[in-house]
Amino acid sequence: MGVWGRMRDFATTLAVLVLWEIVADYVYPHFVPTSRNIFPPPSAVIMIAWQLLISGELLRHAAYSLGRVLTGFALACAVGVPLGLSMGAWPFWRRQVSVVVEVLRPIPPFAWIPLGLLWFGVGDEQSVFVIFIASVFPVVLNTVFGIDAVEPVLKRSALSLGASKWRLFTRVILPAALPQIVVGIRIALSFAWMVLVASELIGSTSGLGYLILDSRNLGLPSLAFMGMLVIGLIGYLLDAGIRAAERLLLPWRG
Amino acid sequence: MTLLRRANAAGLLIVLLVLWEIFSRFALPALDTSAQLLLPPPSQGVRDAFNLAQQGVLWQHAAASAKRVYVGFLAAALIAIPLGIAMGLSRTLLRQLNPLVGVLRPIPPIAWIPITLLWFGVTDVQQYFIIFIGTLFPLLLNTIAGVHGLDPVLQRAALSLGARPKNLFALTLHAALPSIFVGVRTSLALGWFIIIASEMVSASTGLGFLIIEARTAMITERLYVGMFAIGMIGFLQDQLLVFLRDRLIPWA
Repeated sequence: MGVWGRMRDFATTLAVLVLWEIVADYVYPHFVPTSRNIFPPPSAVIMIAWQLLISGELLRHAAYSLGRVLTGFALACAVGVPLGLSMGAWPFWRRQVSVVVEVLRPIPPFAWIPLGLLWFGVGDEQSVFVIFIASVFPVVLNTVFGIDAVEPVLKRSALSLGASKWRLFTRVILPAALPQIVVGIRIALSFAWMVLVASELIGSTSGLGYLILDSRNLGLPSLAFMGMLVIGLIGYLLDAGIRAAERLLLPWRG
Repeated sequence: MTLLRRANAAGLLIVLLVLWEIFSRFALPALDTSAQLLLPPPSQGVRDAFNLAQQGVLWQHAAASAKRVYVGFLAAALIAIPLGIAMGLSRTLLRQLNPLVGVLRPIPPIAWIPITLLWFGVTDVQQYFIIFIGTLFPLLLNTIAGVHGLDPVLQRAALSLGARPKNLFALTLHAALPSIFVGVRTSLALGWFIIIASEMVSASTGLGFLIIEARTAMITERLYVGMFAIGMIGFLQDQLLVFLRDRLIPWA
């Protein structure tokens, strides 16, 4: 029953795929002979995925993209978490930095791409810069938020049990704030992945974003579809990876 | 007193701006004559903003972007909100459409740009489509969550007071509105994010075009203006939405 019920849930999806295949393979070309240049059947998408997988090109572009995202994202965490913690610890510093953050935050991360291109030119540094900018804000804000949300009772009881300020911070505040910090990291990673695609579309000669833009120049829509699905899949896996790490490392989270 | 405190809080911002001004105006040209092109002082950005505003160029580009964002968003809302309500009410529909949503949702809206360029060319329709796809899922998921969030106690209370299906539907909508509003707020913010990227790749108007063009022409101060304008619009839009929420759905 369970398996059958699950299979039944995919009925509409299957119907859409079959209909798409029929329309793209037989119906549409009947009316527009060149339709395959803009609307590929799912089978063509699978075929090109297989070809690029065998030639290794897909993995090569994916590796470029992942390298950029992880570099920019790691930099953002390395800067954002300590900055957020310091803001949580010192109210004066926090008020000062908050104003700067509030001015910069509404600017969409994509809007930094031209500036990144000007400063770093086409290539890895530009992508890493834009990804850093995009992911540093959610990390900082959620770190501060996490520290704010620590229950005062926890802090007071630790202090009344004779904890020093340092121990209070490392043993009570930090573990209590960590789940919220991880939320920030998750948001940051999904932002980073989205921004990466844009930065590779605009200023790069490698990576998955470049691959799908190239499909347009080559007139290969199946390549574009495949690239989109791979980008979606990797984004999904990155998020699933963080959630798994969270369950593993933060078992005290509810 | 409060004014003084506010000015006090902006201390770091002011110090950074002054340092930037001094660095760009005096230190950079001393190092390298062309370096100032990469990082002009903020005062030059302010001057360029006045120029652009006076010529009306800034408004034209902002209006072009706004039209794209709101048309795409409206199309998404017209589909996502009714569909979300239906998916929230019908388990079968939800389970049938879930796999499709699961596959399409993780694809960043920006990744749709190349294929939509093949479909629509460099047109406004292509931009509408990107915004549509980008705003569809936050709206849809928040609508479903809103319908699911109806308190069963309220539902039972309504039923025991003799509510008809019509009343029950109204109750569901009433309960779902705050969550739908969250979807509207998220997707409009996202819409302004996405339009910038989309216009950088393929457009000849709009704020995204303005900044990518400024980069090509090496008018770096115009980048500041464009980025700041985009940020301001996003900020004001959000303030307006919050204002409307407090008026229209005070129970949110």
